[in-house]
Amino acid sequence: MRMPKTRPPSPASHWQSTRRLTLALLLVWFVLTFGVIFFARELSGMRWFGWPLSFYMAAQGLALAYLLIVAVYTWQMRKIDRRQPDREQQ
Amino acid sequence: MKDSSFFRRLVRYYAWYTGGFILLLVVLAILEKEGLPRTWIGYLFMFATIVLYAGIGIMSRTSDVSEYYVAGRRVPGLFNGMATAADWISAATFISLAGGLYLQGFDGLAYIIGWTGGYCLVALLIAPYLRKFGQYTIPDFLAARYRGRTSSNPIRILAVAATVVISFIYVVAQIYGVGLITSRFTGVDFSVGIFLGLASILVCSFLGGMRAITWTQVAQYIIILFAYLIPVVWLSMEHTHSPVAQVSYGSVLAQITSIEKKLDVDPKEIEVRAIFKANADDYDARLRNLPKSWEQGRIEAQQHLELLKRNNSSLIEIRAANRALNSYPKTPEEAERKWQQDKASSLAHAEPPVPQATPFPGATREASDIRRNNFLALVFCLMMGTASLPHILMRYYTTPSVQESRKSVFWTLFFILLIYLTVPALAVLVKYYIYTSLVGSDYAHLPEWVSYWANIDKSNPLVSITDFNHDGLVQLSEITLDGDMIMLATPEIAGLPYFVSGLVAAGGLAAALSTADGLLLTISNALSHDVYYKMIDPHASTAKRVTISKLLLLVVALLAAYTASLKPGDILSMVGAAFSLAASTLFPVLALGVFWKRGNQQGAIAAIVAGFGTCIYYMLHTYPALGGSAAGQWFHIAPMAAGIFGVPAGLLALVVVSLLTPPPDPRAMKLVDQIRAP
Repeated sequence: MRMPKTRPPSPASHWQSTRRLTLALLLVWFVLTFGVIFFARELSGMRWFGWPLSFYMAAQGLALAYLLIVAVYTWQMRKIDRRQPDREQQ
Repeated sequence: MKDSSFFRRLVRYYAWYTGGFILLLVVLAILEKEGLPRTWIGYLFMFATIVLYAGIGIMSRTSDVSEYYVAGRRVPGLFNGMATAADWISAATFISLAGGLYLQGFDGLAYIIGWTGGYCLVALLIAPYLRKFGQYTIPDFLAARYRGRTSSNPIRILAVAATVVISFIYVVAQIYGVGLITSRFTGVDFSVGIFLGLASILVCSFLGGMRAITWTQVAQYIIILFAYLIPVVWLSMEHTHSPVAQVSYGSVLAQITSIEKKLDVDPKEIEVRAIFKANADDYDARLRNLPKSWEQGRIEAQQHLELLKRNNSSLIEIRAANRALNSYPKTPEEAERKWQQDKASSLAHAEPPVPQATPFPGATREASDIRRNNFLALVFCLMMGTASLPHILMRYYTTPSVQESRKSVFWTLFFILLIYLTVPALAVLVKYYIYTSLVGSDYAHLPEWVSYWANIDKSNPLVSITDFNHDGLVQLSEITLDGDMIMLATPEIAGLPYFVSGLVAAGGLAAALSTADGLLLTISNALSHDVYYKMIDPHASTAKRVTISKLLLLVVALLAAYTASLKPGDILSMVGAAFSLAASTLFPVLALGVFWKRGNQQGAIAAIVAGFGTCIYYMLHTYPALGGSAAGQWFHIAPMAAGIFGVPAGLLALVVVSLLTPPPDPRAMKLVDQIRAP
């Protein structure tokens, strides 16, 4: 490898961090979606600023959570990309 | 540096544009006060917006390949997000979604979840890698990734076929929406409306391809946003005393729930429901006695007409009897279909109102579980479908870098949420109005909007209120609302001036046109770039390629308009089918393309065929209009969510067949490595 040791990332480790991040966020995505819908009847008894919790989550909460997931991904991927020695930036 | 000055220039242009649009609204509001007739306001809105789109199209005309296919790859993330949001917000979202939420209650929220959650998949699994790949179309990507040792054509053909089929279903629904809106707001004939809309689509995409579409879509998004938010803000001020409906409608929801409980046990409501139950029983009896009952019914209708004529009854009565006879089913088969429908609709009316906030209402735990499973299935179909729609994914080729494409997915979802968080609020506010102002009001003095919207399509009224129990009051069960009118009629329901109705129509038109633009370009690019350039004539000059693409665009647009003029199905169900189809066919190969190296050509072919086949088979097997029956359902899943079986079938086929056949071509492996690198 051409890079000095202080800048460890290789293509393989870059891919590994990408994959780990993707998997973690997909897990959050899936558990949230599935959990809210599967337990909607149980959650509807709870209140959230005047809404039944399950209605709020389905109408707004999940969508906002998805936005957050995409934001975290974009932000973390920028960090992961920066750790990579300058490759073609096109 | 050049990028940032380009970005600033764009911001300046669109700020001016937004200002100009607000000025137009103000001028129209003043003109209306001064007594400008309603039809003129409708015309002015249609005319001004269509000229605007055409103007952007003409200014962005191009015959450069990269400009035409991918807008020169210099669209900043924020603007690409806005354009994608307009591309995404279709006629179905704009016109039908609020109505769906109104009619279906909690079940309708599946669309909100599915159509936003899909962007997680787009961001995490697909968009950045497509941008890194950096070609022109989705079949391009699949053909390069799943190339065979000798040729990449088999997979390219399949991908083109999938792209064309999915986009075509979707574009027909959009053009149908265009016809609906133009005919309603300007009074022209439905098919004339379709071709008017088509003309404006063509001026734009025909001249400037992706470049023109991108900048038009940004402009259209701004109109869509205004059109959706203004009426909702107004309604919200009226009912919750806060302009931010998204935050304040919780209290209205609580009131709706308590009104629903009262309506459930209201004696008058029960009376009307009993009438509907009796009607349904009557249809049931007739259905059981087919074909004799059909014969008998026809004779009775004839005798009734003759009796009226002999007794010199009023002309109105005779005409009504004549119409009844004319619309009487022509064959016993037709009678069976019609009576089944009538029976179902009577039965639906015989039920107490669908509770707005209760998840999965059902008589028994099993019935409720079935609804929950259908909800889950539909949500996942819509999500995976979102992540496989070629016209959306194609937009992520247009950003300057991979980094920007990720940002652009974020902005897409952000701009979509501005609308989507408002949709449930709108549905709840309109429902509150209906429950409090219309139910229990005097039947002889219905509000003006009821007769206006009832008269637009007399054979198939969008709203009808009939005093079934003759008590002179309106009961909830006596009101029939078509979901498609809720959004379009909101300004009138809220008592807003007419120019807001014009704005809403312009917004609906913008939503339908922007999506249709993107879809038509996707289809014609798949045909011209992938079929003509890559397979038929690889030596074609760039000028020739663009010309071919433009010609194909024209042909596809005319075909789509013709199909839409036949008025097939209702908008939401058609689009729903496209999502399941897209998910089953393309999601497995797209998602595993980057994340699983071992997938090869044979596996991809198997995946596309298996996914598509499973989905189509299930739809044909279970959808009554296509000759199936609900009895054939697996796990009681509705045909619209067929993708929930199609996607696993596709994934399984991809993995099994790939592992049984030799590893993919070394060039494909290299491509994957290259795409994965930053």
